[in-house]
Amino acid sequence: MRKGKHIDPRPELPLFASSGSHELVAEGVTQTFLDEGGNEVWALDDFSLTVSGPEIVGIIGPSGCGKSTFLRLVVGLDEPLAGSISFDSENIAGPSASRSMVFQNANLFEWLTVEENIAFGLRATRTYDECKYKIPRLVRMMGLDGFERSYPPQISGGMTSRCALARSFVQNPALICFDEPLSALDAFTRAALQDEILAMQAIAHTSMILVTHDIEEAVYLCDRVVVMTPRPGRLQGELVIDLPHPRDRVSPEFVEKRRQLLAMLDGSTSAPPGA
Amino acid sequence: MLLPVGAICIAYGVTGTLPNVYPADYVEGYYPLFLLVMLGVYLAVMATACFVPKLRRYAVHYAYLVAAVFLLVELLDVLTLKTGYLLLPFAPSPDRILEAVPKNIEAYATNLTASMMLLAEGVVIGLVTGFATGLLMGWSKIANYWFAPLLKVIGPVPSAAWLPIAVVLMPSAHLAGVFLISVAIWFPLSLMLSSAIRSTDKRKIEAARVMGASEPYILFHVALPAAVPDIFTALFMGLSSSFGALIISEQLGVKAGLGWYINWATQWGEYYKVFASVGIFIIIFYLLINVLFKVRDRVMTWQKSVVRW
Repeated sequence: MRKGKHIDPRPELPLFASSGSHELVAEGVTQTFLDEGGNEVWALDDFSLTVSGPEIVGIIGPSGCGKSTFLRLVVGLDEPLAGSISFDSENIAGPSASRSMVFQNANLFEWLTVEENIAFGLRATRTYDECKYKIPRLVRMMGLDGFERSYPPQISGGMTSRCALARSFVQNPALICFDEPLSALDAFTRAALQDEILAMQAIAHTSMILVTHDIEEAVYLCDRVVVMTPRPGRLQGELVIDLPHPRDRVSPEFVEKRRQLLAMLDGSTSAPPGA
Repeated sequence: MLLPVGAICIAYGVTGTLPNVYPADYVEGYYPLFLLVMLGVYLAVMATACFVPKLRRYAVHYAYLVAAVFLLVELLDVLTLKTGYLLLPFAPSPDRILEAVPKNIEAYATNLTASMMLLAEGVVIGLVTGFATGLLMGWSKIANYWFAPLLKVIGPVPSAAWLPIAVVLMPSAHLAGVFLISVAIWFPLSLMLSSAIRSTDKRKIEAARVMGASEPYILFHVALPAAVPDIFTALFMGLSSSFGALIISEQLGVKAGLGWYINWATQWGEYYKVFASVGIFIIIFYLLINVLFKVRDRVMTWQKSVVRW
């Protein structure tokens, strides 16, 4: 490692520039996609959701209910078939640095080192020179010190997730979408990463949308949780989780929220499809 | 580790004591000298290996192989010069093969240079065109529509079949040779590069899009690096078949080069020159392929090698 590498070159510059309140508004979003056999699959039906300010909104629902489909619309990878989806009153027409995403399998580029992976978005948008001071800071915040020059196949699953998390924060996004980001990790690493996400959110004040299968994770992280019906995904219900952080996973309140969420999910799976 | 020393000593002793009978009054010069030089080199390697553990492991590992090679060469010496069991001019003795190069150093130098120049020109043109069409076909559906059939028709045809047409179409035999060699590189490179780019992991492309990367940026910074393993497989295949193209074009069209020299020496019945030329080809092709694999290991530090050499 090079000498002096960890000295922050620009201590006066902010890591996260808070730029007021942001609002994501999705109204009556309907979306279909073609499956591998070329059949049209009705993924989302008349789905509405508003996310505003620094809140963490969880989306849970049975497999294939269109959760990931919704995230793709939010980051601008796809356009909805019907309905509208806007961010800060502007229709989402494509990807933007203000909305980032952490993918299910981390999706790092294995030919780039950890720090090059984090820097990818900056280089791609030609903002590397003015923002490169963020990289050593993010590396340190995420506990990736000493692994800056390692390649993704050489680091552990937990570090891969940390790197993906750092990468999603580097472009100073106002909204981060998480598509089951921790599902591949063991329980201990997952708990550590959950705290990491909360810590980053407390500093960066970003809005977050968290798609997950893990009810405990949803209750632990989210300010409110949206439950979806089986395909095509519709809004089944919403549960506000107003417990203070840090949350105790075995406290009666926490367990009660888990129970409520499970009950809502049971209601959504037992309902006849399309009802 | 002492095994090769024993083998060299046996070879030296046998070749020194047995009389030369075929041809009877032949005087060996280069082969005993070669054995002595090899003995010196190997002793030097052994001395160094005492201090370098990595070299020691290599030396121990390959000791049997090296010893066997020297015994085989001595067997050839016995079968040819010492007994005449194998007939001249088709089976020259090791001594004749070894003396071919120093006694015809000028011919070998000019022909080797000609071969390497021809190979270099063909390889460079093949690389440039291969990368260009590969990238274009991988990225643009229109380019793929027009180039893919051409690639599929021209590519699999062996160089030998092209040669007469290339000689007619090209203004000179030299250019025909360049054409054949570059086709040998161009075909696997453009085919594998374009298919690798088209099959780039969609999730990686989407990750790059979310981070605001433009289409050209994704092509050069996601699709191309992801295709590097396939590029090197293609270069390995292309380089191997370009050696074939080189020899074929030299034997039939071009009037200088080691391939041409092999043909010429064959017609004069000087098979020892043929063996020496083939030996040079073996060394050079081995070195070139080795260089390619070294380059690959440097470029692909992130990945363990797929094809081992």
